[in-house]
Amino acid sequence: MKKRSGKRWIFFVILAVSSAAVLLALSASAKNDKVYHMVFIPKIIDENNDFWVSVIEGANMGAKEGNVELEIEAGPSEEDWQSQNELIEKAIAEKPDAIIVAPCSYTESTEVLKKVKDAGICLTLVDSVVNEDIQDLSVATDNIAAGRQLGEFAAGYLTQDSKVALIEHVKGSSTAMDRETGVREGLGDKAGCIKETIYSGSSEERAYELTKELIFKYPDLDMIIGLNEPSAVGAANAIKNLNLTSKINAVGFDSSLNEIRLMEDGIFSGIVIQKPYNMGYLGVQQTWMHLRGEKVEKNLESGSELVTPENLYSEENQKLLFPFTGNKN
Amino acid sequence: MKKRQFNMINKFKSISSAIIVFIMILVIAAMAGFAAISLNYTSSTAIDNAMAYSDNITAQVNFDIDSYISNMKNISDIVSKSSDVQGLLFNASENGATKAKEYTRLVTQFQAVLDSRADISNIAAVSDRNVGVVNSGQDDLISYKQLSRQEWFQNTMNNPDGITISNSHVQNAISGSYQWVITLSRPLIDKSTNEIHGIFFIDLNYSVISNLCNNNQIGNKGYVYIIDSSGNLIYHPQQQLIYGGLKSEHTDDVLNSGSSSMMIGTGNDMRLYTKSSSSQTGWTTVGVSYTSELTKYDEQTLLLYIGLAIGILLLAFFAADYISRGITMPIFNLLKSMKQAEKGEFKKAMVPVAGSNEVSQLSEGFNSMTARIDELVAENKKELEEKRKSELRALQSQINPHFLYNTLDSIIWMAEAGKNEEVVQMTAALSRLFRQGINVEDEEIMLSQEIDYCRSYLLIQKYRFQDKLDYEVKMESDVGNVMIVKMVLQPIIENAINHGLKEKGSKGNLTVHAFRDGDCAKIIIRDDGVGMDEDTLLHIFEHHKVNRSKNGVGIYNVQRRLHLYYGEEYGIAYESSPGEGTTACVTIPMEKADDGSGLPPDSEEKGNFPVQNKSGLPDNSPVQGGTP
Repeated sequence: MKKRSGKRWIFFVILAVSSAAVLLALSASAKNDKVYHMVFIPKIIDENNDFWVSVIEGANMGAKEGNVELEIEAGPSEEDWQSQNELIEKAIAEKPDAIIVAPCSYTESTEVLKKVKDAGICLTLVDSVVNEDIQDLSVATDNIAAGRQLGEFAAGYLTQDSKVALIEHVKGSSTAMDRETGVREGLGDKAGCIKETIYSGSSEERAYELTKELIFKYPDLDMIIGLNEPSAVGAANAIKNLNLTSKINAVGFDSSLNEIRLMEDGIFSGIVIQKPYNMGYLGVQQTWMHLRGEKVEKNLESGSELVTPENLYSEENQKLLFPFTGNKN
Repeated sequence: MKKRQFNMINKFKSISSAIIVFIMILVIAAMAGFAAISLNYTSSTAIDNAMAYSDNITAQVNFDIDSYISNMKNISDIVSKSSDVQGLLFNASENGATKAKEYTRLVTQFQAVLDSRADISNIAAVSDRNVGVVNSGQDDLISYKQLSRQEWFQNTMNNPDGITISNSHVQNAISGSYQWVITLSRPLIDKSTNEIHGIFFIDLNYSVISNLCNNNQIGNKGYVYIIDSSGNLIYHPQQQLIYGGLKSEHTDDVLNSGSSSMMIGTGNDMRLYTKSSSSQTGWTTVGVSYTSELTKYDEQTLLLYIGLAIGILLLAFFAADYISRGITMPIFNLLKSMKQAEKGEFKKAMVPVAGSNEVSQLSEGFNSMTARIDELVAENKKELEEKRKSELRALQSQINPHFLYNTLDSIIWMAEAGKNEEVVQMTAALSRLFRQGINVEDEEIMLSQEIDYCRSYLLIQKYRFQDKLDYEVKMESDVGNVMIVKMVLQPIIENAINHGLKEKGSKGNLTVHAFRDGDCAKIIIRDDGVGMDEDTLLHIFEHHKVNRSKNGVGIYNVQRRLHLYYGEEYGIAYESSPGEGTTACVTIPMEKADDGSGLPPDSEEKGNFPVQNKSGLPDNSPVQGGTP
């Protein structure tokens, strides 16, 4: 009898092991198909802001590809770090798998972002970073390199005696600081031409007004460098309206149809465009891969291009500059 | 059981394991075969279906695009050949009023086209002198010179006789508008000079194409894309990623492939490509589906099969266990009973019989066999008991007739001598002796009774031998109640007198002493007669020796009955040497183990079982040695 029951034990063990194997396979395949929940908090959601529209489109594409449940929320303006911090707190309470943030402030966002990490949530920064290296991943334009690119281009239009003004967007944001650093590097020995730095607060109107004041202050201004889209467009509009197109050169960052029009009108001689779609897509896609345990680059660059009136309609730039939808202006 | 045939089944410890293992192997093999065939079948049909479906979709997309294009061609034919266009654009001799009429007619025509066709975003005819009509006349066309810088314009001029279809591009013909379109264009020829002096173009809204492709998704992850004849993307759902350098598409592989469908990639990234080319545009519509999505159901099916297999395996295991137990349990019971029967416990050896299969029949046979053997054993036992009783009866009648004659002679002699007192005592002793021996029903009597019997016997012998015999009988009080087989001591005493004392010249002494020794009662019968040599002592229990002797009851007989009754460890032990006398020690248990059968365990039957016929019985007749 003992031998018989021994045999039976072996059978039961075999059956139990095979059942366990099947369960494991089931759970493994379930894990592969896991739907991750991510919250994306860009600086702003504004359908007139081509840059962020594009970032969000890219993020949505990444979410679709990875079957990610993506929630997107943003504060009322790019400067409003308090609102954004509240949104981040709210997102932490939801306990998603990851929070993807484009931090509004280089310094003021840090504390709340630490809480994301403390809650055990994966933190990905896109577009901008903060003053401490706390993120799991980041996807951003190498703003120093982009600034250098623009600075080098701008230097070609300048002499040692030229007068240049910088219009930055938000004081204390990492993108503004990096771009300024890059621009100064790119200008090289002509960095001394920068006579004034003003802050538009990422508002086109404010940039417009400030540029007008600036032009009155420096009647012999040669160039205005706008460090983001509203700043550049505001400045260019001021130049256009003051009929100073032939006198003052404008260069800037980011692309929008307004910028393209102004470039076609001869006001912008060059703009450095980022790849916002890539940024949004990579932000979600890299996070997704990271959550799945795949190896990804910690700080990923999304790239930038210099666009001039000459190469505006080249096939590659067309595709980067003009969104495929929603462009019936 | 001990003899085994050599075959597969015998390699297993038990038949039931063998049955279970074979059934399990069979089930697993069947399930695996079934799963392999059906999985193969389902996965190949899934791919076939996907291919057919993808073919349909790409053909449909192509058809739709072709219909858009042919529609645009029709419009372009009508417009470019209309006299209004020639007049408005090229006829310098017309007056302003005519031109205005022509302009109005063209605008109305264009407006009608734009109103009826949502897919058309721009329609324009313009001359190199910047005369022309755009859409409903409200949009500002950029200068002909600016226009001529664009790629699609140049392509049109390089194809003066026909219609040119552009790739997807940003149309910047109207200032301030940057729409993605596909442009169908043709040069306008001034018929008076037969030279190209203008262009007609009609823009197909790009979103028409993208919606068309988006609405024709294949599966969850599958998609449709369009490339032109040189492999440039016209539309791709992930074109942003492709332009951004994050993705690549197998455009060349697909374009150069001879077959209309192909598999590209490996593992989870394996994709099924189906293409269909349009004759109108020269574009190729490609449908992409992920085989992982197709085989996803395979995995589920496989898991289902495995689950099913485990379920069936479990069922098969229990079924096999049940069946094998149905076969082996009765055999096992039979085996157990056989072991009981080997021990001689026939009552316990009965096998429960259920059903009427081969094993049940075997069990029934076994049952009737054991029952028969049990009967035989009972019969045998009864016979043995009968035999013992008759043996005892014979013993009573075995009192040596010489003893009786001699005693009677002595009584006569004493009566003649007038020894009345002695005659009375002796006759009384004789009478007592016989009375005591009469009861043959009880095989056992109390030791005190047996001792009394010996006293009577010795008294008679004392009268016979007078001064030649002295005897003493002692019995400790604690052994008086011990039960002893009848007629044990008297033959020993008789033996001692006849062989020991009688042959001694001088006076002989005989003592009988009964006492307790632990769990035993011992009766020592000692004489100081002639004694025995070693050889005689050695053969004292052999009954042929006894047969030769003159006295009736052989020591062998006594010993045999003691062994029979109490076991081998009890009985008579002799010690003797010539001239020194003889000591016989009878050992019996204080309390006899009562097994109710009158037969001690491990009795003489041991080893002779099961069949003991009459010829196998010990041949020593109970009536032996009694004859003078």
